[in-house]
Parts: sequence; structure tokens; C-alpha cells
Amino acid sequence: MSTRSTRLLMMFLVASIAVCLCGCANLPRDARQSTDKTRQSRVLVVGVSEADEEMATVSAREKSLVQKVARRLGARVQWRRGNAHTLLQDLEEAKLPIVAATLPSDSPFAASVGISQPYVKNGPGHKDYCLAVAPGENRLLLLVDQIISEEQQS
Amino acid sequence: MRPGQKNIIGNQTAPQQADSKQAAPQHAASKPLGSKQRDSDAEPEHSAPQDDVPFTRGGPSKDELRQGFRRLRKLEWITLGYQFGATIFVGVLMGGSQAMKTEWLENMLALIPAICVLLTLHTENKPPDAKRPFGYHRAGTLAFLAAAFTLAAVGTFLFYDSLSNLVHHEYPSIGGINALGHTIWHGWLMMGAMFITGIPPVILGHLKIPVAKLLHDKALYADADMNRANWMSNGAGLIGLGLVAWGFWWGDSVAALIISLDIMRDGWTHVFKSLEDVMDRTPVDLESERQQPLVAQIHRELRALPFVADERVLIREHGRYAFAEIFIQPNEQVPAITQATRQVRDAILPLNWTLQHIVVEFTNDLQTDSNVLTREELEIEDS
Repeated sequence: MSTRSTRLLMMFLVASIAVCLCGCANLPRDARQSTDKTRQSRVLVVGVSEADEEMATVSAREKSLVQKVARRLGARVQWRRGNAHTLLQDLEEAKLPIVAATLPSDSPFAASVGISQPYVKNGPGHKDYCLAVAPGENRLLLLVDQIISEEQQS
Repeated sequence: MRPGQKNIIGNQTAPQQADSKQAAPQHAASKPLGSKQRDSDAEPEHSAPQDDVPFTRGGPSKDELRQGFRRLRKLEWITLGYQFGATIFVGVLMGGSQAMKTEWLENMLALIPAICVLLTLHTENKPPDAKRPFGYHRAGTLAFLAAAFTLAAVGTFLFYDSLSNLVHHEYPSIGGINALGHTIWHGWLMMGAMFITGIPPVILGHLKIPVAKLLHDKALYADADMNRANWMSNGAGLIGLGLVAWGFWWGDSVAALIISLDIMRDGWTHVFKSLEDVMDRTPVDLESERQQPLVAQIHRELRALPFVADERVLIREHGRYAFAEIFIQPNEQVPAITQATRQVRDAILPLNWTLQHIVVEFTNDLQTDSNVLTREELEIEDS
């Protein structure tokens, strides 16, 4: 192996270790700082769509999850009611941070927004249901995932 | 045994023993395509094959070449196994990252050159038949051309895909993953995968280079070259995901863009290299792309023959081998035509083990007879 390649390989190793070490503390961060903004304003705006009777239990479950997320951030929830389609479009444009719209994990919207881990597996309609987080808000998405995972373990 | 080879070996060795002072060393050096059977044909007095004797003056010995081919097979099977594992590993951890998607495809595409090298090894060794009298040596070039096109096309698509993500401000969403009772950020695992899959190909690449040079294997060299450069795309992916962790959404798309550029570079470079081979280029060095010293050596050897007044050589690569057409303008010292031809073959064939097939023509109009005519020269088109 030539000296130049060895040196480059070493640089690659050092850079990757450095990036990993830096990452331990306060990372990942949100691309649009939703988590920090919520902490400061103490308000978590959540889009919520009207669920039909069949989905009532699922909807209640995700609302309680969102409350937990808000509590973890020292905030209260401000519900924004609306049509699921419009809410998800607003979410895609990061006009609000979270949408609770009993969204199945195989929804076409899943590709363009942040999808949480399923909080209900094979529920009504035999699907997995997820919360949707604005794209790129990876700290908030991680927090949602952590809370879902804690709930499932308890 | 192939009829052409038998002819070369059988005829080549006999007169040297009879009439040359350097008969013994030259004889040993002039068994470019020997097998045990051929050895016994040519020199029944020696029962054991002399494997440590170089094929050519200063060239590799049969034993070295045999080991080289064994090593080639071993390295390519390791590459296949590794790339298959890496494709599954990266695929499992892919998540919502464009850089990971691109890296996954890169790992999958890296299977193709290794498959090409192994298949070629089998196909190129097929004996010539009535339909393909020059044999199957170019199978590798064809396989590699097809593979390079695939690489180039997929690279170009990925470049477009990543560029479109960047232009449309696609923010990558990477959430948590449950591992050992904890929910950790998926991005850390992706970075781990980028790191782990970045190193082995570099090592494999460096191990393959000397084997490719020894066996003059262009496909293996290209494969090694791709492997050697692999750490760059993994480094880009690692840094890109690091940037996403710091909240810079564009890190992912830019990393994917760099990885796709690497795939495109590999693809298009090898498309052009394979096309050069198809276009009958003179043999070149794998690394420097400069003309092989073999070409100058042939001219030198020909001019040293007492009956050569002038000469012209048309030489081309045919897979890993070189095929040459030699045109000689003789002077008055020229012996009988079969004897003169034999002397040319004996002087030229031992120069390099890759020199597989030569044709000798004696002429008194060198320029006209060795020329490949254009339509204008054929007077079927106006200049």
C-alpha cells in the first residue's frame, strides 16, 4: 500500500472517529430546530385529524403519546384540527412539527415526512400506525420513537 | 490441446536445439503456452516440467502464473462473499438516508466486476472452434463492457436522483432504532455501517493490483481500482450523515451525490477502456496507460535478425493476450521462407507470455501490404 493511500486511510479513520465522538452528546439536531423552539415557546403544535369511530382507540392512543412528548419538552399541546391530507401537506412543508392522523406506515406520505416507529401494530384494517414528524426533524423524531418504545416496554 | 499452440511450441523449440548457441537457455525461455503434455512433446528427455523457469526473458515463471491465477480466484471469491454480505448489511440499515441508498447500490454493483472476472476466467480458456477461430479471449472485454455500462447507467441515475433531492430540498428523516433495550438514533448505526464497509474493499483492492499486473488482467485491475477508491465514497457518506446529525439536511444529498459521482466515474472510465480494447489498441500498461515495452522489444528483435531490411508490426490486445501481425521486407541474406519464419517466431514469441498469436509475412512492398486501407485509398469514396 502506498504511503499516500495509507495517509488518506488514516485521515478517514481519524475523521470518522472524531465525528462519532462529537455525536455522543447533543446529537442528532433538528434541521429546523423544532425541539428547541418547542422548549422555548412551551407549546407543541400538533395537527390532528378527525378519526372515524373505528379508529377512535388508535386516535386516543396517539393523542396520549403526543401529550407525553410535549410533557418531556416542558410544553403543552396546541391541537390544530383539520383534514389529514392538508395537515400532512403542511407537515411536509414544516409548517407544524407533528401530525397525529392515524397514519398507516405504508401510506404514500411516509416517503416525504418523518415516520415514527409504529405505536400500534396490525390494528384496525390490519396495519401498523405511526406518528408523522416534519422531515429532517431528527431529534424530535428520535424523541417520539423513544417514547413509543418506552410505552411498549412498560 | 489447441492445434495452434501445439504448432507454436512444437515448431518453435526444435530448430533452436539444433542450430543455436543459446539453445539451452532460449529453449527453456521459449515455452510460452506449455502444459505437461506439451513439455513431453517438445523434450521427451526431460520428464519433470521446469516450473521455476521463466516463460520469457525476465518474465514470470509458470509457477508464478499458476499461483497468480489461484490468487485471482481466491481474491474474487472473497470479494463476492464480502460484497454480498455488505449489500445485505447496508440494506438492513438503509433507513431514510439517500446516502445509504446510494451506498447500498454501490455495494451491489461491486458484485458485477467480480462476477465478470470469474466468468471470464472460465470462458476465455475455451479452445477456438470453427465459428470463433481466434478463441474466446475477448469474452472478458465484452463482459466488462456490459458491466461498465450498467455501472455508468446506474451511477448517472443516482446522480440525477441525489441532485433532484438537493434541488427539491428533501430533508432526510432518520429516527430511532431499538437495539439492546435502548432506542438509539438510526444515523449512528448507518455511520457505523459506512465505516465498517469502507475498509475491507481498500485492502482487497491493494491485494488485487499486483495479481492484475502479473496476469495482465484488465477487468481485475479495474475491479481493484474501484475497490481502492471505495473508501472515498464511504468517507463522503460518513461525513454526510455526520452533517445530518448536526442538523445540516443537505449533508445526506451531497454525500449521495459524491458516491454517485464515484460510481459514474468508475462506469464511464471502464466503458472507454473496454471500447479501446474492442478498437484493437496496441498493448498498454495497466497502470500508466503507456504503450507496453513489448512493442519496442519486438521491433528491436526483428531488426537484430540478419535478413530483415525493414519491418512493420500491427499489434493488438485480445483480452489479456497480444496478437501481432509482422510484415518483413527481407534483404538478400534471407534463407528459405519456412526457416526465416521459424527464426522470427523463435525471436518474438519468448518476449512475453501474453504474446499468444503471431503471423509473419514477407513482402517486398512493406507499406502497401501492411496498410489497412481507408475508403478513399480503396477509391470507393472521394477524398
